[in-house]
Amino acid sequence: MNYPLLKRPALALLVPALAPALGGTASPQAAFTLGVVTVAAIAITGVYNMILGDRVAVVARVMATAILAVSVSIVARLVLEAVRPSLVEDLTIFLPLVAINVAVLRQAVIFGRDVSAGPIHAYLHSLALGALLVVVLTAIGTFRWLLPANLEFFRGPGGLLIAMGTCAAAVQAVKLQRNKAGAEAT
Amino acid sequence: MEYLYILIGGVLWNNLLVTHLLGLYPFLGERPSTDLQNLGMGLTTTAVVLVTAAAGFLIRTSVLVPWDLLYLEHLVLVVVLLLALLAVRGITGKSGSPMPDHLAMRILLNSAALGAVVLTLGSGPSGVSLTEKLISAVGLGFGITFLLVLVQAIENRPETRLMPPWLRGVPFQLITFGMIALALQGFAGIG
Repeated sequence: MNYPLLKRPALALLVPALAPALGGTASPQAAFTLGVVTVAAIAITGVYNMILGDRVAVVARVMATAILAVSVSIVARLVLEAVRPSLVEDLTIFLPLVAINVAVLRQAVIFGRDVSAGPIHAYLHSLALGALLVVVLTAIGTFRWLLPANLEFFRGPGGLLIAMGTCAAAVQAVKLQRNKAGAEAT
Repeated sequence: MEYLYILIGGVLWNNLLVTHLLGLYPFLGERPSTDLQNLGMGLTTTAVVLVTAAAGFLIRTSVLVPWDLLYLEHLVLVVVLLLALLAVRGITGKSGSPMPDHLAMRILLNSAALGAVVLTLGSGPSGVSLTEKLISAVGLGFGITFLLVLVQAIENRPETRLMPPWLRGVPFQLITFGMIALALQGFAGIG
């Protein structure tokens, strides 16, 4: 399958993986829960993909992976309804979207491209990406939750995206500066 | 008039970007580079959302609610979404211009598509008719199309080539989205 995201560095997959979950970061608890459900779904679908390997068609693997991931989100929802019903309201729409996150973070495995280092390596790699997603989501959730009342603007979608864009620009500027310094040194 | 209100609402004040921060994926991931291709992708997404919402509504009212299986709704919706995508792909294949794999993947991975269906079926009182649900789905689909075309048009402007290198790519896209979200929030008073 010719899919351009596969050509990106693995860490760069985190940015599109944030897209389905960003709205679920209204509080640190919600963000953390969403991240943990994503990691659980990655873990389960990863085992399934390792067992099946290339024995079934890609379409069947994608469908089965999505179904497994949504099943994990349903179980998570049922557990949350029993334990923390208030979180279910925050996450109702975002829990099924975990399937999309799984597809983004595990696509290298799903489409059998990242098999050079072995399936277990790919599995652990996607789990590590999932763990990183939990950290990033929780950090965004904490940032939004800790904002004082006079900075309410950054809690809304517009303010949050502008703040994230500014942070990304700062990171990019530091990277470019480092590359420039490295090039001058050599 | 009420249907027109729902339709425009899906594009402006109820746009998924503003209400649920969804629809960013095609921009933070990969997307077509021309306006026409983006329009095509948006309209295909709308068609997939519409078909999924219609099938989802029928399954919900005729199977899930009577048999008390509503907790399986999301699972059913994901399966229907995948089948709808395959069906739309099959239809475009027969018309002589088959949908490429990567386009199908972009639509599948655009969380706004599934989000639109979940929202359409879950929102409003239980007595809302199928027509209203479908118009709402089309409105949310048009909202996704609107974002795709709008951001592409902004990126294609010659002035964007003058921006500093540290602002190019994801930072510029995020800030652009933030500003669009703020602009769309301004319509909230109408809604």
